[in-house]
Amino acid sequence: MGRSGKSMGDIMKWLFGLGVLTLGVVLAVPEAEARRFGGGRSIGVQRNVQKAPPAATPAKPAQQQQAAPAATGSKWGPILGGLALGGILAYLFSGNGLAGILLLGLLAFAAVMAYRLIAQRRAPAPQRMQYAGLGGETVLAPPAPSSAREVRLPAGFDVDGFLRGAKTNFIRLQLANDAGQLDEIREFTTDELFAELGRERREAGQRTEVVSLEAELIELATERDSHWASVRFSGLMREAPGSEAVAFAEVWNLAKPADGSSGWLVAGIQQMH
Amino acid sequence: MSRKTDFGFEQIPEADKARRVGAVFDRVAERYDLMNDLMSLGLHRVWKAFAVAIVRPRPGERMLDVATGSGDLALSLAGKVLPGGEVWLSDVNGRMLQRGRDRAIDRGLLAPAVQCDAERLPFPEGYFDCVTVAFGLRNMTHKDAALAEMARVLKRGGRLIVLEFSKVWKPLEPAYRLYSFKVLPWLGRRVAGDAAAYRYLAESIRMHPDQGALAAMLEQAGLSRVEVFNLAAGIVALHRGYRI
Repeated sequence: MGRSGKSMGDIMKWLFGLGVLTLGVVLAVPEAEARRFGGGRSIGVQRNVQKAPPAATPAKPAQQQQAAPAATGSKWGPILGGLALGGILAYLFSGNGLAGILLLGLLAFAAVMAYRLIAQRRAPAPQRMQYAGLGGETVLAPPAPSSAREVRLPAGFDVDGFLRGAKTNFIRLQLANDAGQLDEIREFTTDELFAELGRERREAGQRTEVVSLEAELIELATERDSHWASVRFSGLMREAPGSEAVAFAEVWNLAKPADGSSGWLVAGIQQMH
Repeated sequence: MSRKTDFGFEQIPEADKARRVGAVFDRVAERYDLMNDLMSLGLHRVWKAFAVAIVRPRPGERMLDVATGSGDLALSLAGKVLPGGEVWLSDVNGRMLQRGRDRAIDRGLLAPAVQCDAERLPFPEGYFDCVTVAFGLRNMTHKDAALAEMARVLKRGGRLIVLEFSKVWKPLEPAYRLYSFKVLPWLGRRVAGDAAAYRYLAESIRMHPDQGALAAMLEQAGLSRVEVFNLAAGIVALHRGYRI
């Protein structure tokens, strides 16, 4: 009797667990929709840009995920760490001069080792990477795409400055999209893209967090009456508070009238996955 | 005769200090972060994390990080007060400030960067909830004027956090002296290719007011309830004061 009662309880637990799981999946589905500017899909002007291979950082989101709770875990951590370290140092040095000198030697040794380690890491050795599921084998990574060299630039075009501006506007547009500020979005998009974006109703008050952001200029061209620039944005983004940061890679096609009547505007977004 | 100020152990005309300090940072800018890790054995991260814990940033607050350098402290704060709040980066050195600004953008943080002299901050009175300065006060020509400016831009009830090298606990002194005058310049030569810059670092630490003197300067600048937290036996001290 007791046995069957126990197994009944087990079954109930299982069913309950299964129910929670199913419910979780059902609830999670709407969350999975991308909330970022453009909705995480291809929209607006699509250009024939070379699909650069995605950056080989599959392990990054996992690290980020692990690191995040540690950072928010305890606000006393740093304080206790600092106090403990001070205490240990004080204790070690309080005995006599000898212990102090020994510890100093140890510190110097550690510094030298750290220096050598970093110097080693900086040496231009061929980059090795490990694929999941290949056991301990490592393979030579393909050389990084040197697309920057392929882009033909007009004299005096400040790529760094351009990309910095592009990144800033990327972040601003995410914020404007979160807050549902249509004016701000209109300021940075072509009329066509703005109209297309306007068709989807966005809910204000969501929060998209750019965790890391890289930008690369992959094409610069002048066609008829417009200049075109394609910028590949990649990095990690959290599309709901507390959720895991996911990798993204998308190309933004920016247009600017050749007569200079406006600045660079977003004309379209192309997903790279 | 012009007034003199300290540049490490040297006495130089006041008008020259900003330029000399600027030259030091221009020379070491490339290797700055690496050197910080090597010199402090990574401890500067603990010290900055401690400063963030003392600041206790809340969402929506306005913060100013003076002498932000490559922006370590400002970036940690920005993660806590944005969006809704503001974090301003400021530094007198353009190259260091660029590093801070670029690092902020790469982390998806919109934080305005202003190149300015801490003795003349381009902000209205009572604008910020918190002003921080980490390892920067030491390099300023008129520390009293800079502190007074930081107090001026604070709201009433706002707090100033100063993280700076300080006077180490007495029994530790001989070892610390050996480290800063022998090991540091050697490291500076090997890693950043510039021993003189790191000799300046060691000397400027010696010339900086100790815990008690700096606390008095904060009070002089109009801050109240000044508290001192010693870190690593006084190698570094954190001062906090409120504008009331």
